[in-house]
Parts: sequence; C-alpha cells; structure tokens
Amino acid sequence: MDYRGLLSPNDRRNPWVKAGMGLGLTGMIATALIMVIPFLWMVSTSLAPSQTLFSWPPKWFYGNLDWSSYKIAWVHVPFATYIFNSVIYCFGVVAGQLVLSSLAAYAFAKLQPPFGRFLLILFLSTLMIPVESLLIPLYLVMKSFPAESLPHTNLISTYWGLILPTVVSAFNILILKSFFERLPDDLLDAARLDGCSEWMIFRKIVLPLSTPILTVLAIFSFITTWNSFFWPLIVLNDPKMYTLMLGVHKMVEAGEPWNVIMAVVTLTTLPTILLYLAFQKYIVRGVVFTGIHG
Amino acid sequence: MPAPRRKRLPTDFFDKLLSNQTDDQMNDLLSSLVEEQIAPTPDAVLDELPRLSIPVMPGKKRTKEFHHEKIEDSIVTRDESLEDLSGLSGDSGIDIIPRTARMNAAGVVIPPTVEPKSKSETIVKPPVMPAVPGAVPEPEKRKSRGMSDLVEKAGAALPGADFVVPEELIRDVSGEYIAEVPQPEVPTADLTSSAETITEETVPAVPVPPLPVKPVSQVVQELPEPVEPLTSAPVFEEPEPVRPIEVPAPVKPRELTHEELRKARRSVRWEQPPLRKPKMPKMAVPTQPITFKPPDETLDFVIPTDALFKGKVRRVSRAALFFLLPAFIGFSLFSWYPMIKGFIISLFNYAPIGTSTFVGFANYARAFHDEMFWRTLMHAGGFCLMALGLGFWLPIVLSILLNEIRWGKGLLKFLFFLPFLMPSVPAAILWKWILDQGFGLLNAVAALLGVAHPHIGWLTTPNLALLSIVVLYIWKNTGWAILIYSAALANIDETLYEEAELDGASVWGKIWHITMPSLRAVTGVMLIITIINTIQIFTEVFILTNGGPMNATEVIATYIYKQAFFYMDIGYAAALSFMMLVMLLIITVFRLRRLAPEGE
Repeated sequence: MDYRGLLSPNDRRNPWVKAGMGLGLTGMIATALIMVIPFLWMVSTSLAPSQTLFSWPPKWFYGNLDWSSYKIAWVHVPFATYIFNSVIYCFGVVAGQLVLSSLAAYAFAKLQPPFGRFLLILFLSTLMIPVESLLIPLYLVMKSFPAESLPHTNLISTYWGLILPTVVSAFNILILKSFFERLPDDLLDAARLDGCSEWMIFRKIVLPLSTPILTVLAIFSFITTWNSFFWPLIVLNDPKMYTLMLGVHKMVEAGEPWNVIMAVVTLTTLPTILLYLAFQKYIVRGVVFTGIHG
Repeated sequence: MPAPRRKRLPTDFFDKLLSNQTDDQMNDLLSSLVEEQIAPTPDAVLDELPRLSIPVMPGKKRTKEFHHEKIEDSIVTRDESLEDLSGLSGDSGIDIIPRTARMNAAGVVIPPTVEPKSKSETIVKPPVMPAVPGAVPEPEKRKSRGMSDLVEKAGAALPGADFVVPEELIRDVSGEYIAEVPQPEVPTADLTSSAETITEETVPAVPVPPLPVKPVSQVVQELPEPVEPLTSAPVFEEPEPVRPIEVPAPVKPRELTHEELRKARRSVRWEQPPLRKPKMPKMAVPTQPITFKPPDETLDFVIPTDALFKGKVRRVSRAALFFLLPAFIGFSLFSWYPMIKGFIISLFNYAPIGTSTFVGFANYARAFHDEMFWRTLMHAGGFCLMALGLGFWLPIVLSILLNEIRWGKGLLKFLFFLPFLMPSVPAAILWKWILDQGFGLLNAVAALLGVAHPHIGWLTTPNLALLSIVVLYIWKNTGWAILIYSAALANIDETLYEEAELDGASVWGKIWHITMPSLRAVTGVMLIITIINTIQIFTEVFILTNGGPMNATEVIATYIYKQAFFYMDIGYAAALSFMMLVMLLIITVFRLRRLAPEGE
C-alpha cells in the first residue's frame, strides 16, 4: 500500500490537491532559497575584491576568486587563540556537565538518597530560572569567588570563571535520569553480588551502557557552549581570553571591511556545519528528543 | 539393512527384568545378555507388549506408585534417555529409537509409521503406547552412558513405559507372522469378530504377572485399546454379560496441567555451593548461605536479595549522597546562591567599590516609574507577537508539506535546518550585512522588485528595526521547529487518515481534524518556548542594533546589560533581572504544567 501520510493516491489525482501541492512545492523551494541565499551571499562577499564590494547593484560572481580577505582575517583576528579558548571552554563545560549530571542522575535513578525527592525538585527547579536573569549576580559571584565574606579569588577573565557557572545542568540530569531508570535493576544487582562498589557499577556498567545518550548530550552542550555569547561577553575582559564568538563580535565592532568580516563569519560557521554533518544522526535525534533550543 | 541373527531370548527375560529393581541386578542381567549375545526375539517382545503397555490395572502392584513426583521423574529421565539413544543411533547402524519417533509432553512415545518398502511387506503399526509411570524402572538406572551402550548391544530398547518396538525387529519378523496381526488402530471387522470370541478360556488371567508365553494372535486380541477408534467398536459400546473379564477401558495418560507440571518440576531441587564465594565485605554481608535454586530448566537464579542486602537502603544511600554532592555544590554555588544574592543586591544601591546602601524596594519602585523599562516590555511583547504571527505557522505548514513530497525531502530539510546550525553571532553579523542600507542584499532584492528608492534603512528606521530582527529570528529558528514538527507528524497514525478518507473527509478536513489536533501538544510547547526565547532575546538585538535606533529595539536583556555595565547601576540591574526572572518563572510554570501530562 502506497499510503504514506496525509494524501492518499486518490487525493493526489484530485486537480485541486495537485494545484495545492504545486503551490506548496514552489513555496518550499522559495523558502529553501531564502534559507540558503544568505549563506551564498556570505561566501560570495568573502571572496569579493574590496573594490567591487560597493557596487550597485551588488555583484554575485567575480571573475577571479579573491582569497585575500581570508588572509587578512587570519592575520587580523587571532583565530588560533580564540579557537583555543573556545575549545577549552567547550570541553570544560561538556566534561563538567556530563560528569556532574550523570553522577546525580544515577543517584536519583538507581540509588535511594535520603531526601531524594526533595533534592530532585530542588535541582529541577533551576530549570525554571532563566540564565539571563542570573548573569548579573553570577558576575558578582565570580568577581569574588566563592563569597566576599570568605577568602576569595577573582575569577573574572579566567577559564574557571568562564566554565564553572554552566557545569551544572538540571536539564541533563532530567534526561539522563529518565535514561538510567530504564536500565534493568537486575544488572546492577548482579554486579553488586559480584562485589562491585557503587562507583564501579557506575563506571563499568552504567556509563558504557549510556554512551549514546551521553554522546547526544555532549554534542548538544558542545554546540550550545560554542555558540554562547552573553556570558563570555560579561565575564571576559581580557582580549587574550576571548572565545571565538566574542572575538568575532569585537572584531566587527572594531570595523573591518565587509569582505573580511564575511570571511571571518564563514570561518566561524564552517566548524558547526561540519560538526553537524559528522554527527547528523545524533543531532537530529537529539533536537527531536530534547527539544533543546540553541 | 538385514539385522544380524540373534539368539532367542529366554522366556522369563522380561519377568526377570521387571522383578529386578536395583541397578546392579539390571546391569548384571543385561551384561549377561551381552555376553551370551542374546537379543530379545520378536515374539518375546510381542508377547510382552500387552503387559508392558497396559495402563493402570486394578489390583496391580505397580500402580501404587502412581503419583506426581514419579511422573515427573520419569519425564526427566526419559528426556535424557531419548537424547542418549538418539545419539547412539547414528553410528551403531541400529535405530534403537527411530529418528522419527516422537514423544509428547506426557511421555507417550509415538513410534513412527513404517512405510512399506514393497507390497510383500506387511506393516504393523504399533499401538500408541501410553506411558505408565509406575512401570518405569528407577530413573537412575538409565542415566548412565554405559547403560545405553548395553542397550545398543542388546539390540532392543529397554522395557518400560517408553518401550518402543524397534524398527529393525519389526522388519525382521514381518515375513513370519506379523501378517496375521490386524492393525489395532483401525477397528476392522476382523478385530471385532475376534474380540467377540473372547471367553474366559481364551483369556487367561491377563493382569497377573508373570505372563505365560501365548500365541501372538491371542496376545493381540488382548491388546488394550488406547486408541480412540477402538472404543467405537460395538463390543465396547454394549458390554456383554457373558464376558467374565472386562478388557479394561483404556486409561488415557493423564495430561498434566501446566500448574502440576510446574509444581512437579519445582519439586526436583538440588543445592550446590556457590561457584565462588562472593566477596562483598563493603556492600553487604550475606545473612545466610547463598543457595542457587534453579527452579526449572532455565538457569533463572533466584537470589533472595532481601536477605542478602539487609540494610541495603541505608548503606547504598550513603553512596548516593556522594554521587549527588558535586551537583549539589554546583547548583548551590551557581544557581541558588546567585539567585539569592541577586535579590539581596536588588535591595541595595550597589557600589562596586566602597559601601552599598540599603534602599529596600526602591529599585523596584524605580523600575515601575521608568518609562524605558515599560518600553522594553512593549518591545519584548511586540517582538514576541511578530515572531509568532510571522513565523509560528510557517514551520507547521512546511513540515506538513514536507511530509507529503516524495523526493528531495532530506535535502529540503537540511536546507531549512542550515540557518539553525549557524551560531547566533555570525548569523547576526551576516544579517547586518544583508540588511545594510547602502549595499545590502535585501535592498538589492527590493530594487529588483521595482522599489523606487531601494536604500531602505532596515536597521536604522525605528519602525522597521524590530521587524528586521524578527526576520532574522524566524530565518534562524524555522528549521529547528520543522524538525520537531516533522517528528510529531511521523508519529501520527496513518490509519486515522485512511479512516477519515473512507468517511469522505477532504484533504482540508483531514488536516483540520486529524493533523492539527495531533500536533496540538507540540504546538503548545513550541508556543511557550517561542515566547520565552523572544522575551530573553539578547544576542541578535545586541549585535544588530544594540537597542537603537532611538531605543526602538531596546529589549529587557539589553537594557539590563546596559544598566549594569554602562551605567554601573548594578542594584537596579539586579532588580530588573529579578523581575524578569519572576516573569519568566510564571510562564515556565505554565509551560511545565502543559508538559506535565506527557511526562516531565
């Protein structure tokens, strides 16, 4: 039976439906073009020679590709530093989130902590606190960490200050907890019988079994962290500490010709698209599964 | 294959066999047979057939042993013996139990039907012999492999409940006198007539062992009828008063109920020490020796966990606290503490250097009188409404259309999803260039469309700036929404559409009455998410306009940022943050309540 979705073969013979589908197809292709044209425009501009940049009407294709804007961008923007910072930021956050979230989620799912229910609600309530509303107090906390009344250090413009506020994620705990709960108890009991400690069970059984979900969460927190802008903007003052996004923003503020800016933008966008192509399966599944919004 | 010639079996063989109850005696008997190269002869076997296969008879000694456990024992051992014997059949050249022999659950061996090789050969179909548990020798007797070897050498299967007339023997004797044997399964006229002639003289005391050797025809007449068709013979339907001895009604082997079988199986139990001593000094101390009790064939170990892990809850939960500790510290330091601190700061006129002064709720009062604050709320609301009005229906329509096209689906989805992959910062920068007043792409398109003065300041005109940012927002997030809607559409049961079609629904009707209601849950969630995200929006606005032109795009987040880091009025910024928090909290609680029915 070739009956897939809404339209039956019968419907497809209906001239009105045919017309509607034609219209819809046209609309979809138009939308797809609208989605893609900015990317083409970006690449096109980045390859444009400076003198043709300000021509009216804008030109799309130039006789010879001009890669000089990429060279300028690479020289002007300390990409290596920014990418290094971004990578450290991302890996720190991903590692922290995975470790803390999986530990807590395992405890909630398979062990019976005292006051477990209360703690769970306490943890999950942070889901409802928008990060944006915490940034100002977080900035103050980081300025004198952990508290002014205690011996404290200034974590502004350090990796620690960058990474720490996002290492806990109630959302990851929620997802992992529901995953761990589906692991059979008998498996863990068998390990306990063999003399495994809870930590060994977690390390040797639970973690290997939950590699898929951990991968999804890792990719997602990586992308979110890679794209994050607001917190680095607040916490980083030292240009040497800038993440890629912040550095790109500062460079644009400093004022560069558009072709150089577009070259930078292209270079910044490329990794995420490559990452997507590499992990397409996980990302699509993760978006659908978690409803994460970048 | 011609069978080797065998010596005749002593006439009292079976009686000896049956009276010998112990293993040793049985072994002796059989090995003596082997030594003398005596095989049970066909007539000896046939002579004994009735006695061996006669089910429970009144007054018989062996019937006393009829109870469940014995049945189960016989089943278990019979399984093994079957394996043993069938394993032998390959190399010995003698099919002790023909491979086609089957055994049903109650232990009744169903011998195969021997097909005639030629017309001259007459076939006897041995009657289906019910297993009489009592007649089975002790199960241990037939466990050993050596025993099976003996059986092989003896050339005959052991007498017993699962006695089988070996194929070989039947074939051997077929020429001699089996031809006389009527097929007991079919109530032929011959059988009936012979049955009618049964008198007291012709039937000597059948049930009393030992049986004298009788002519075959007589024995056959005495055969019990475990087979159904025989009961329909007239002789059994109307019992004759002259007959002194009733041929006992066939007692069908009782089909054990499932429950009985299980109970019986469970009664077979053995204990064995644990394979190795579990070392678990830290975890729990076993309060009793661990016994592995395989309840049935499957190795489903039943471990009394309650006894093993006495005090499990207390012990394990202490470990649980260690698991929770890092996250607890994290949440305390980076979620709850800042929240409380934020609220406290909002009550102060905060000075980064020097002393802060407590001002109570003055910061909040100030916000209510701050015209700019209300404008930011208006902008956020306007942004939200525009994003919903322009962009909310788009992914729904697109995903429904996407679901219907036959090819290019993946490509289109990828193209739609592409903008979502672009990080916000480069996306905003790119759109800043596209919306550029002088040489932007959008103005070029406007020129193509024939706009008179195609240098529209998309980001510099107060009325257009917010709309431009909304366009960027929709461009970036439509692909993500399409992905989620597509997943939801894939979950709709297609038979619903089919049924609607049968009921005469139009395409529009199907969309309106099936697709949309099915998507309602997802739509609700997306609505709330869009509202929250548009209220929180920062990066796009910050990069594209930074609140300008003339504060026309100032939203809450950018306003807070400016208050805190440009005007250094951190107390006020904290108050604004806290108000935003409360606002979003209300919406989020609403969202969670919407989500709740689907799980968390």
